Formats: sequence, structure tokens, C-alpha cells
Amino acid sequence: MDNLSQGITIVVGVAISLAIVAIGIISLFLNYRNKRLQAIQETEKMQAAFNQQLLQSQLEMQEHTSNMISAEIHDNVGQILSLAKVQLNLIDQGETLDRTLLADAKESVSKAMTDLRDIAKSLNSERIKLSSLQEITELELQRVNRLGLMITSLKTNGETKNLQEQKKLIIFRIIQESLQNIIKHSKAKKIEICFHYEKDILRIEVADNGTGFDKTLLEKKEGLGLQNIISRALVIGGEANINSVPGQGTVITIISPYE
Amino acid sequence: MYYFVAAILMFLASFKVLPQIDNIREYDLLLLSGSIFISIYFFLIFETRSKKGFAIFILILGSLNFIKREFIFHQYSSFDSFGFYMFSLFTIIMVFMYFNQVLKAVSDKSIFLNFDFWINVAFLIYHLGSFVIFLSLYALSVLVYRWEDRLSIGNLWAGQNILLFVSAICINTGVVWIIYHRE
Repeated sequence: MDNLSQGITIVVGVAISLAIVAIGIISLFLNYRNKRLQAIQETEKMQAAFNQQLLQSQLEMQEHTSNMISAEIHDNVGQILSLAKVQLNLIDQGETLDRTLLADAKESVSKAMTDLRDIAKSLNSERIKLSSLQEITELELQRVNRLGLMITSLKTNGETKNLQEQKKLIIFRIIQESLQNIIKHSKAKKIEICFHYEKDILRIEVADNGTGFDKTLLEKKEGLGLQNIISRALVIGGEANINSVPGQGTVITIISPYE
Repeated sequence: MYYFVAAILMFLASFKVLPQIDNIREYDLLLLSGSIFISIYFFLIFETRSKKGFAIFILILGSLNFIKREFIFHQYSSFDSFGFYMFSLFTIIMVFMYFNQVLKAVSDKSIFLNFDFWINVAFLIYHLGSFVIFLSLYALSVLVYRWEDRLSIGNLWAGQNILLFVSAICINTGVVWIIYHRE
């Protein structure tokens, strides 16, 4: 009888202990749920940052393209057409028809037409979607080349792999920003871009032989353009490293996963 | 609805205690109504077919157990502790299924404003504790033969009542919490 009473007490004790365990399980459940909620909110924030960055990149690219087109029309097409106008004036003033001059005028107009066609192509937003990252980078380098300030080159290592549309756009914007920085500040004579298609990541190096800069600029957050490059790379799940030595140029390395 | 039916059955059962009339049938009906209402409740809150299927399985099992006891074996004399034990065990499984469902679709909305959460918390506290009591009741009813000893087994209900009280507090806290925070 005593043993039975003892047994019953133990059973009641175990039952109440299990009820306490149930409270523990509920606490664990709530804790795990909170963690999941935080993780989801974090992901949503990242997604929002990514979308914002994407939108900003698109707007900046449009602005950049507009500026480049404006410069090209003014400096290139405008000059060629002015030359064609002078040539036509000379033909008009001459007593006899100068066939050589006429051919030159025709060539100038033809060149202006080709340049305008190139500009029209660059205005097409579908161009970026349809072209590969190398192709649009190549076109960008051709534009820089036309400025006549520096020599550019593009190299590719490894087998080309496709990138996500949005990632491609942001990486291209990083390259554009890097080139803009080089043109504005570096006084470089040579720009070299190299695409390394590795197993899981794409590594892009943008190197110049310009004046370089003190890396403390980055720590002081004075180089906002450079900070932009770093933050954009983070948004696409990659990273950007900037190595520069005063007097010895700069190398910007962009690393991005394919997915 | 379940609690209403359960209260009526317990009320009827309590009337039979003093005149020492057998009230096993009320408990059998309580188990049957518990199986039906709780299975339907979980069937309604579950979102996947497999989980809904499990709730229907419990409903069928509870009904078959009742049919077996009442109409096939006519087991009116003994309390169906094993049936209650199985019912508690399956309810615990369904509570975990509910928690799994909540964790799969986490939302910003506070879970404390969801009455289902409070009901499941009460179910877990009550059934996790009580399944041990029902199992012990079943084991002791098999092992103990002396009538005086059998009477002392009834002391196990003290633990059961404590658990029932705690789970009732949980549900009431949920009701108050939801009303207060909605205001």
C-alpha cells in the first residue's frame, strides 16, 4: 500500500514535470519562431536594399549614358558634321566641282551616320539585357578609347558563364563607376579589365597605371564613389577589394557568385 | 462546443459518484466527443493534406474505439485509460504538427493574438502531463487487484486536476490577452 502511494506520488510528480517540460517546449518554439521572423525580416531588408540598388544603378546608368551621348554628339558627331559643312561650303565656293572634296564630304557624313547609329544602339535599354557582360564592357571601353586619353584592353580567362540579369546590371554599373573614377581622378594612360570565370565565382579586375591614392581615404569614407562600389558588391552577395598605392595605380577586384 | 459537451458529460458523471452508479459510459462518451471535436478542430486549422489526413485518422480511430467498447465487447465496467492515453498521445502529435505549420509560415503578426496558439499551448501542457497519468492508470488497473488499493489509484486524478487547472488558466489568459490587445 505504501509502495503504491509512493508510486502514485511519483507518477503525479512526473506528470507535473512533463507539464513543465511542455512549457519549456513552448518557450523553445517561441524563441525559434522569433529567430525565424528576424531572419525573414533580414532577408526582406536585403531584398529591399537590392531592389533599391538595382533601381539606383539603372537610373545612374541612364544618366551616365545620356552624359556620354551628349559628349559624343558634341565632340564627335558635331565635329564631323562641322567638317562636312566646311567641305560642302568649299565645294560651293569653287568654280569647278572638286570630286576629291566631295568624296571627303561624303565620307564625313557617312562617318557621322555610323557614329549616330552607334549612339542610337547605346540608347536601347534592351542592349544590356541581350548582350553579355563582356560585350557591354567592351563597348564602354570603346567609348573611353574614343576620348583619346588612355589605352584600354579587355581580357577573359576561363569559360564564360551567364550571370543573373540583375547582377549583370549592377556589376556593369560597378565597372562604369570604376572607369569614371579612373577618367576623373587617376591621370592613367592605361586601363586593363580582366574577367576571370572561376568555378563558383566571377572575378573581375579593373586595373589602371594612374596616380593611385592613399587607402586611408576609404577608411575616412571620403571616396564616396569607391564606397558605392563596395556597397554594391555586397548587395549582390559578392565583394569588392580596392588596392591602391600612391604613384603605382589602382586595382579594383570585384567578386560575385553566379547565382 | 467541445468544452460545453465535456462539461455536460462531467456534470452527469458527477451525479453518479455519490449513489455509486457506474459512470464509465459518460467517460466513454467524453473520449468519443474529444476524439471527434479535437480531430475536427485540427482538421480545420491544418493546411496540408497529410496533416488533415492524420486528423481524420484520429477521428476514425476514436470512433472505432467507441464502437469496439460499446457495441462489440460491451466494456462498461472499466475506465478506458488506454483509450485516453492514446488520445492524449495523438493530441500531442497534432499540437507538434500545428507548431510545425506555424514555423513554416512565420508572419509579422503576433502569435499571442492567435487563439489557436493558446488552445494548443493548453493542449500540450494538459496532454503531455496527463498521458503519463493515463498510462499509469492503465498499468495499475492491470497490476493491482485489491479493491482498497484500486480506490487509492483514484488519487492520480489529483495530478490530472492540477494539469486541467493550468491548461484552463492558459486558455483564459489567451482570451484576456487577445481582448486586451485588440482594444
